[in-house]
Amino acid sequence: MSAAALELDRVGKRYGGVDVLRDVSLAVRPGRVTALIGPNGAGKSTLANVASGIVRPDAGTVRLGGRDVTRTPTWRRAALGLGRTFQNLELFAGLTVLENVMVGAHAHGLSRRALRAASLEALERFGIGHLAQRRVESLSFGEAKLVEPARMLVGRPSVAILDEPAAGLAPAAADELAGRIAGLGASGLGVLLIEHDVPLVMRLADWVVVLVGGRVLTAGPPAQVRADPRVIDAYLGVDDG
Amino acid sequence: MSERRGRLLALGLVAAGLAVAPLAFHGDYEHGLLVGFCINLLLLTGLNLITGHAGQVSLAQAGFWGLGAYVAGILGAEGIGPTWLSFVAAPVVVAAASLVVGLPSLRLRGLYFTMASLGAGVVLFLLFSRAVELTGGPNGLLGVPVLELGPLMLDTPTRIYWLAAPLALAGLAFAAWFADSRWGLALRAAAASEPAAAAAGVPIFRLRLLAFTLSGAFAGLAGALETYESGFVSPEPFGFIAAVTLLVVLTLAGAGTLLGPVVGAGLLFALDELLADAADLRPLIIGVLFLVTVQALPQGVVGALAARRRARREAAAAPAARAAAEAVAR
Repeated sequence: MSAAALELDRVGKRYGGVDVLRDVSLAVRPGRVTALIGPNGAGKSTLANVASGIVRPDAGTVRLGGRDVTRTPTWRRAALGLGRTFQNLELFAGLTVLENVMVGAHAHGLSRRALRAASLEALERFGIGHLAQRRVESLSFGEAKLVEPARMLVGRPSVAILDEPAAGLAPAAADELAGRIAGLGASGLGVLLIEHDVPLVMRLADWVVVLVGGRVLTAGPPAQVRADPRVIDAYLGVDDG
Repeated sequence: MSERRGRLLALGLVAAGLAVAPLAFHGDYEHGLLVGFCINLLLLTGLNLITGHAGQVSLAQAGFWGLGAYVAGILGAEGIGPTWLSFVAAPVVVAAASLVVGLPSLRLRGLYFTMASLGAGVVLFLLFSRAVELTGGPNGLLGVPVLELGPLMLDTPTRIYWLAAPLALAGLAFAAWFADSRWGLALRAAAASEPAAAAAGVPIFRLRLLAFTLSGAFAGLAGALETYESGFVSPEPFGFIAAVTLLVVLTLAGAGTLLGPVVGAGLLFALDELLADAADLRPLIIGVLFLVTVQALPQGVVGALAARRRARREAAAAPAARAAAEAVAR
């Protein structure tokens, strides 16, 4: 098996005496979609923040491409190949869609012209090239939701953390997004997908990690996780239909 | 018209305005006010980098301006090097001071940074007032010589204006280039969302430190001009009122815009011209204007005009964008 593109090893984080993450280990491998699921408050977004350096863990190690980045600042992790999107949209208000995406390649030191070309290409790939000159605050939610992944991809990451990318999207748009996420994995990117849409996760993921109360409840292939009674009990519930 | 072309046109108009201004306003007093316009333009352009673009509200600019003025004044009065050297030394020294202040204070954010910057301004003001041996204290620093540029003696406000105007224009052009660069874009992004900017690879602290240092260099240059324009340096112009005035004027003119500093400097020029016999009213009028502007035009005058132009452009482009979106959907 290939080395992990992103690895969290026995990571712990406490807030005010509460263990938000405890002994969490997971690995995201190149070309694979690793999904992280769990109920609200399980610590999924904290884990994304620890992985990307926004939150520093109290224990454990974060490795990016085998390199220890536990104390490496967020911006440098981005330069090392870690890209991410956010659960709550984090766009740069006051900037156009094109400018938002251009910021995504800041670490590469491209010329303005090259930056612009790469950003327009990323926007076209997400079907929103026609919005390039619009201010992001004037976009619909569905349109805005596509700007973040475009911004992330223009940074040419080797690992992508997608924090609830389908949340709030109409079924057709979520479906289209699923195709794009599958494409990311197929292109060799290691993807950590944090998502509540279980059917989407089961369709896309090569490996599923279930987080409950800040701990890994179980991890395995989608079919195995779906059938695990502990997962059904803690998160999935029983389909009475 | 593309935004870049619009910026070039705006800079061209400012250049033309600076070129004809001495013809429209006659006499030493008016030309002294025009030098004041250029000084304020440099100060506001610098402040706009850290406050307008980087979103970090600084109250240190007046203190840095004073530091530049004293560096120029001391070099001139002590006869250290040629007088033009002040126009290199003052920005360099003040940029270095800004770097030293910024290193700890820019690790703070929002109001805490503003308070730290105010602290720096207050400390500098106390230095100007109390370090009597060095600065002359409240009595001021005397003995500033006439500025010489090679064979040219810049001994009248008109002559100093012809140095001040190109410097102010060059400063504005540099700031426009910087704001449009990937660093400027990244600074504006970080002002909107720090986590997203950091996740996009933006070294926020370093870029803010760069903007703050550049803003100090602008203040240093303005200080050198101030010294040679007035031939004298005293602490009074560089205190708390000046710090707040600069911030308020930038905000009501349009922080984060290219022309905000120009409109702000124009406003201060107009007030000085109109209130020649009632200068005490200046802070009051600026305060009232500020209150009206934040209510009516929270983005400032230039910001509001730009927003209107943008809204018109987007409305005009909407049918084409809709058609493109529909084509994508099909």
